[in-house]
Amino acid sequence: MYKNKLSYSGTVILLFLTHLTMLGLVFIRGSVVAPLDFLKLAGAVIGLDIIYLLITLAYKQMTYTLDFMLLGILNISLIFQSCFGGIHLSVKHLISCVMCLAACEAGFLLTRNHEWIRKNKKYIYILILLLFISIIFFTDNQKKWITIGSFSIQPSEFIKPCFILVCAASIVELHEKLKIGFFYLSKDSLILCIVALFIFALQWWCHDLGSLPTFGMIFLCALFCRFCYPKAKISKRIVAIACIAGILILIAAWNFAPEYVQKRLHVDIWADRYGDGYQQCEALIGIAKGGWLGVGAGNGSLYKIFAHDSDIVFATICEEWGLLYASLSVLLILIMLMTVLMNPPKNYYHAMMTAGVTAAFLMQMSLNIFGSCNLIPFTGVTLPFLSTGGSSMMACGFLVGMLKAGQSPLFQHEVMKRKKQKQKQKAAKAAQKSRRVNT
Amino acid sequence: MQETLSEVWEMLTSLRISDLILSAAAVLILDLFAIAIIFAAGRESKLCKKRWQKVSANLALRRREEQKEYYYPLEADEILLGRHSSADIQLKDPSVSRYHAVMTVTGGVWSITDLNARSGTFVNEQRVRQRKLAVGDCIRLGTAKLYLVKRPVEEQEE
Repeated sequence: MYKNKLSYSGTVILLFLTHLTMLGLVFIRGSVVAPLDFLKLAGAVIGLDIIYLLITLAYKQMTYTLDFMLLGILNISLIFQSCFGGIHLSVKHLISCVMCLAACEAGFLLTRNHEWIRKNKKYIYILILLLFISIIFFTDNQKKWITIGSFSIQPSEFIKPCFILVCAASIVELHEKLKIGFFYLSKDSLILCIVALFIFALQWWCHDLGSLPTFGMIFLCALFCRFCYPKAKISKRIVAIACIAGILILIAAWNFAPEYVQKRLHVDIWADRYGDGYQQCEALIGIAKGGWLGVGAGNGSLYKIFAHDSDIVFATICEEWGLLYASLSVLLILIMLMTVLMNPPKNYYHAMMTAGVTAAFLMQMSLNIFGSCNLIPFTGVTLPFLSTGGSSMMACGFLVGMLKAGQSPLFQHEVMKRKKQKQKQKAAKAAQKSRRVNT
Repeated sequence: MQETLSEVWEMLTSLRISDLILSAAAVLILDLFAIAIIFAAGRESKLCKKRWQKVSANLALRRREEQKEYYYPLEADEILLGRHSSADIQLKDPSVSRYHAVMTVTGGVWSITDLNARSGTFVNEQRVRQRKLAVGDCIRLGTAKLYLVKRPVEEQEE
């Protein structure tokens, strides 16, 4: 941190200013009824800023921009969510934000040492298997949710980071190939294909076809990286065949999709305004109503619509804050993904991880934003960081942690050094103890 | 065009001046934050490069071909040498296998591993399966020769 003091302090000041001006906008343009609620919101935002920045200082990392970005976006999201339907502190979303930050640190610490995670990949396979089992046996009637008391967990969200890790593992371990029929496949590639098939089948079974494109994009990304990866002896011809097969599958899926999907694909939202096109019609009206600068925080009417804070959150933000501010918030997420390109990872495992995370975020953002603007069929996926939902936020946080790991990797010799230092410290302590005993 | 302009004008006049100034300030500060992040990320990437130079001992492979010298900086902790276009260091020599050998680094020390190449991998004219490398070592893959050298100053400055 000390090496980049000037640019970091400037960024931190601007981070605070961004949140303060937003709070100012809420106070002046918003519908503040109870000043205490507003003060609670302001306190939560500034408090979260200060606490997380202090925690970040304790971690020795090479890069901190992703932390600033994540904190900035999460607090912007907290302000957005707290203003839907009147200004109040959304405690549920605040908890989600805190969990997202914690998941980010967990993701960073777990995936930082690529050698370690490569060696322990069997635990990722076990975890993914447990997630499958939990979805099949513990979710209520294919609704994808596990309800424990007043909490609901969506296990399918946690499959995303695990799937990216499986993809990364398969990319790296391509030396040992097995001959299965006419094909030479490595063990990890085979596992990846099985996991991918299981995921696609599970999504189909759960009627959660909205997440399918995200998983498909991650899988395509792995395929592309495999082509680029030196040890992968997959020819351009195989990649071309895979692409053609993918297009054919898409065409087949478009034509032979189940009835409820066909409805969404071919719905004329304005003709069926109070039926299947209700959410999208209201979302488009909301965006138009908000204009460039919005109607003011808490003054919108989209909060009455179902899934205003998740599936059509972009439209709700547009209505209250304006298209300009909503687009800039999305741009901020895109910049977060772009900063990773400025410092490309130095090993294939992290490179694949970074590519997979970027692909997943881009796909999910496109599906949500273009879906609520009626440019593509409505899928009902969440907008990363801006939509409400604890499971989604935790998964997103973990994914950012993986991006951070690619930026600040731990090299093997550094791990060895740390181990030696610890051993020395232990030996010194033991020597001290023995001296005390002797005296 | 005129309609759009009039619509924008209507929207602007419908807002209070204070609202307009505050909204513009919020947008501007968000923009500045984004720019500051890009600037900080640029600084960080320079620091990361320096750290990588320490980890990789700041080495490069030098190859002389037809009176010309080529430098291949070692930019990842695993570098594949071979004839295939997807190899990190591509050597267009028929005696080099498509995926000939792989170089890895641990704590500033590079080592080379032969990937069962037909023409073999040689370090200082000794056939090797796996071996640690030192600055000045000559690596021969088939007939192609490469030298492990300190990275040239111009490349370091870049």
